[in-house]
Amino acid sequence: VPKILIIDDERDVRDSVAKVLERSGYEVRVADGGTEGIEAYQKHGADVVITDIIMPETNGVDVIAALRKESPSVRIIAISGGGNFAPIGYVPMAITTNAYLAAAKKVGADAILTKPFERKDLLAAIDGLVRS
Amino acid sequence: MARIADSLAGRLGLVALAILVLLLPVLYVGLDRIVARSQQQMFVTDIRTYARLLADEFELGSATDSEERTRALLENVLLSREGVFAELEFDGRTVRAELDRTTGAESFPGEDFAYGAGGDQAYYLSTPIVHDKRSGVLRIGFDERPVEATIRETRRRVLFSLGAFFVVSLLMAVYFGRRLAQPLVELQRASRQVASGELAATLETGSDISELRELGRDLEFMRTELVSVSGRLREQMREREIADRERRELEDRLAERRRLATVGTLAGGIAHEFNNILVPIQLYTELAIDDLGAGHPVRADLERVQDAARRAKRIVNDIFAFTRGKDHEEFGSVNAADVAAEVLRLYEHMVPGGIHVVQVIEPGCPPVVGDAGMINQVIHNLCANAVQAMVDVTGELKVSVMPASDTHSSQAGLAPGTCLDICVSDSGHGMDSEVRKRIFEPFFTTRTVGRGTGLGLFVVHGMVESMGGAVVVESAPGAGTSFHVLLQIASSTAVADFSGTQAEG
Repeated sequence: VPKILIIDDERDVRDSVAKVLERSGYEVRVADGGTEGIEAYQKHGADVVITDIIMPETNGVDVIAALRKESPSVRIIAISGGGNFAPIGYVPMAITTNAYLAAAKKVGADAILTKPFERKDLLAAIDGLVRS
Repeated sequence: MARIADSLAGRLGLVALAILVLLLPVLYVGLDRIVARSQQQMFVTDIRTYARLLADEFELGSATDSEERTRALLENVLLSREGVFAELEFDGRTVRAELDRTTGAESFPGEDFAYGAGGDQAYYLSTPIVHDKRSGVLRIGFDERPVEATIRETRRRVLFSLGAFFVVSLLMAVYFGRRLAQPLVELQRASRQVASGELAATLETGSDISELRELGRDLEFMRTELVSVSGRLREQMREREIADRERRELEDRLAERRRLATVGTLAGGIAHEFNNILVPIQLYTELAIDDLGAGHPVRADLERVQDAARRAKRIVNDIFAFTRGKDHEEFGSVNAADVAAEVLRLYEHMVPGGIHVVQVIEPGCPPVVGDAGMINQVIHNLCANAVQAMVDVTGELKVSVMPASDTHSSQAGLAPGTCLDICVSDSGHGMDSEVRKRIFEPFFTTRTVGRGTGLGLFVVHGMVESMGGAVVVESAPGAGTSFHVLLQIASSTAVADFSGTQAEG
């Protein structure tokens, strides 16, 4: 049974995703935030890691970079609430989720999933990665 | 009276009057004296000459030989002149002319040595005569009253002449005063015209008085200088007004951008959080539906929750469409005319029957900097908005693509000649200025509930701005609305090279 690690600072998100995946037969572990997620992977390992990108303290890009260092073969799905927090060109310090997602892809994310997603989208993404 | 005394003509008249009033009595008295004296002098000289001639007549002739002839000559004195007395004492005899006279003395009262002497209104003189070595005295007297009458008449004439002189002098003073004042009156009228804004009124006078002519020339010079300064000032004020207006428009645009940026930031943050919330809503709902058997009454409710979550997702996506943005380098070169034509092909089949779709695309439009998907979305949203503005009415939806006018470029704060204008206009009910100010705000809508989310124009604004363009809105109540989407022409070829592009295209 493929082992899946879910890293998200939003409890409702990680719990709902976990429940969907458990019901689909996966072995699921959850972690609250990036630091805890890296520790969980180091401790328990996983075939697929689903990690949020915008998180306090350790963000998703750093998590993916750390996981890639641990294992080049682990499959990683980056998920994000999407969008920008401010229109480009107006506020120089605006948080650009697109930029984070691009960075996530660069450091080793295998797939990007934009919240909110439906069950079929989630399962299709995991299924594709597990099979590959 | 005070008004007359204030005027130049009135003052000259008064001065002339004063001079005449002082001068004329002196003149009159002087003339009267001269006239009286000359008349009296003439009378005395005349009488004395006459007496001498008569004496010569007695001395040289033979009148003294006969008393009758003597008397006849003496009576001639009384008859031919204004004589009142004639007597000849000769050779011991005295002959006196005797005529019925009411004046004159009974006997010779003695010689007068001056006119008016004796107080008897007659002038008496005696002249010695010698004839044939015999001597005698001729005594004659003449009435002074005709002379007095002549003096009185002359005095009357002098008085009349002086009166006429007085009147004529006064009239001439007034006339010349008015003539003198005329150029000043003209100057006054012209200066009032200048003061009231008729700057073309000339201040030069055609006076033949050099001082007034010079004054008019100087004032005219002053007027032209003032007109010139006034013109310059007006021009400066106009330029300043334009600069102020442009500054205000720029400030308004900046304020609008900041406001929308703030709203966008807020909306983006809320949307991000919203997406996080939607994940468990969607997933748990799906799990719950699975748990319920087919036909369970709660299942339909949960499916409605699922639909609502999907609708919420669409709204969030719209907000992201505004905030998603791209780096400028990420944009490519897009043929906006093709995109517009593509959207219109779709709309021609979608619009209600009463709406006529018009497409005006200039051939050979240069490509713009942007994203084809975004431009498609922008035109689509604007067309949807236009159709909504013409709900329940017939009208025209017009989409045109052409080089942007300098006016619109300037209004958008973009360099003239560097933009393409994608204009979507409708003949709908238009907007007032208050609505126009708020149309780009998220969730702002004038439509009835359920007809729109109020995000369409919000998205348009965000996308156009992120592509480095700008939107100019022209609208008035009842006059329809035009949205000019100005996007920068790709590469350095601007509108100046547009004809070349056309030729190639």
